[in-house]
Amino acid sequence: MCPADAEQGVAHPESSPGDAAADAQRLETIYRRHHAFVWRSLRRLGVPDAALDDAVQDVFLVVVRRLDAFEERAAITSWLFGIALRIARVHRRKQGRRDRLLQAVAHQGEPQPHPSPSAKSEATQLLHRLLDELDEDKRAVFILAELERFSAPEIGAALDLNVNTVYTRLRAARQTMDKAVRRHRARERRVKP
Amino acid sequence: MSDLDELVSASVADDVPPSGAQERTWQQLTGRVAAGAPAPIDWHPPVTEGAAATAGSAGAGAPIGSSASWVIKVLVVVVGVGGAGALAYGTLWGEGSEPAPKTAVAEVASQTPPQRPDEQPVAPPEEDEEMAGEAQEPAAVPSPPPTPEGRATTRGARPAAKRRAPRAEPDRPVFASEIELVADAQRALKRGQPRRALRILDRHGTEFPGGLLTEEVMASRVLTLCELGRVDKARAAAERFVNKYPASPQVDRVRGACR
Repeated sequence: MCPADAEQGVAHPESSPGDAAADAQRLETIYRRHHAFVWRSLRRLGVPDAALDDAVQDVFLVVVRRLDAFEERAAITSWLFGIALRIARVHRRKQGRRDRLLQAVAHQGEPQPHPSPSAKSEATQLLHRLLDELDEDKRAVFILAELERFSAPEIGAALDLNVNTVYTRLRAARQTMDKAVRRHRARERRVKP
Repeated sequence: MSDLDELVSASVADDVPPSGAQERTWQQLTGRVAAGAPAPIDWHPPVTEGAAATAGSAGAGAPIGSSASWVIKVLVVVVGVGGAGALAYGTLWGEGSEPAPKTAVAEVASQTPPQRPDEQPVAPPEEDEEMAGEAQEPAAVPSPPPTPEGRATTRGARPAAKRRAPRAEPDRPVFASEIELVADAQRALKRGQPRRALRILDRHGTEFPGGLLTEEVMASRVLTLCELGRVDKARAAAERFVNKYPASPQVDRVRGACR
């Protein structure tokens, strides 16, 4: 467990057997402490805004289910991200089916826009759109490295990768993202000279 | 600073949950847990009477039987004293208390030449059939939290969990049912009823094909087979588990199950 987690009261304090109050406190502490991290991770992993609350709940249901497992982890954030990655897959798949259904019903060529209860800035919208262009492996590494500032070993722990692979994927992700941003900026300049 | 770095910086500052999202989701989460997701501390030592009594008093008189699940205890504490507790925790653990950014690997990556340019064929993290299908996706609208008594009633009505079609219980998240099944199996195992545990685990594949807790079920099956003395089968199951989930935190536990 990383020192930061221990300082935050997330560390398992060897609670006495069946100490329900301590368990409840651990759960709520983890939730309060890491809600924002889980929320933005899911969003960056492509969970539609309309499904974010449900997806966050799903992540913490898994935490509830496996509360003891994380004490064996290097950092709870790594564990949480791993769970979020799986939950995000479910919700993306679900959204994909929904989009296809909507298209079939509406007989329209363009996907329907998703309701967006949480406003995104232009930068965030663009970043998320570009993240969609990455495959999941590179996307996860990019999110943890560039946006969450995880260290390479932490990313390796979260994604079950060795450090070399982390660096390799990060370089590839950065190259893809760099090109995509440059393309976007060039288009912007053409539209708004 | 490159365009990408500027974009990242701008987005990081902006990418925060909307106001009230944390509390709203917490309420919904506790509701879903109460509706049938027995948060499982099956790996914890059994509850002592003293601890249960402590939790009971904290729960303002809510009943905590000796067989009450961890989730009931948690709900007694979290929801039972929720009025004051939520406010207190809201103050103590505001969303602004995220950890400071850690050491950046990004800069290192951009400077460090690859020691091994070819990417290793690392198994993708937990990508398998367990995520397939919409059947195990949780319901969008969580049920309101029932009382602990309601939870006990829900357990009594478990035959409903035999349904193949999740629509039979539209207000109950399928994932919660899956969690409950696994928790039931683990409870049976802890109570010295490995045959019953195995029967419950056998239901998982048919009731929740590709379920989210396949990893947990496979691990529990190894432990159960050990309890039944079926060592060869347990070892074979353990091998399958380790091959499928080499990074699981339960690998050591599974490997040492029959020792």
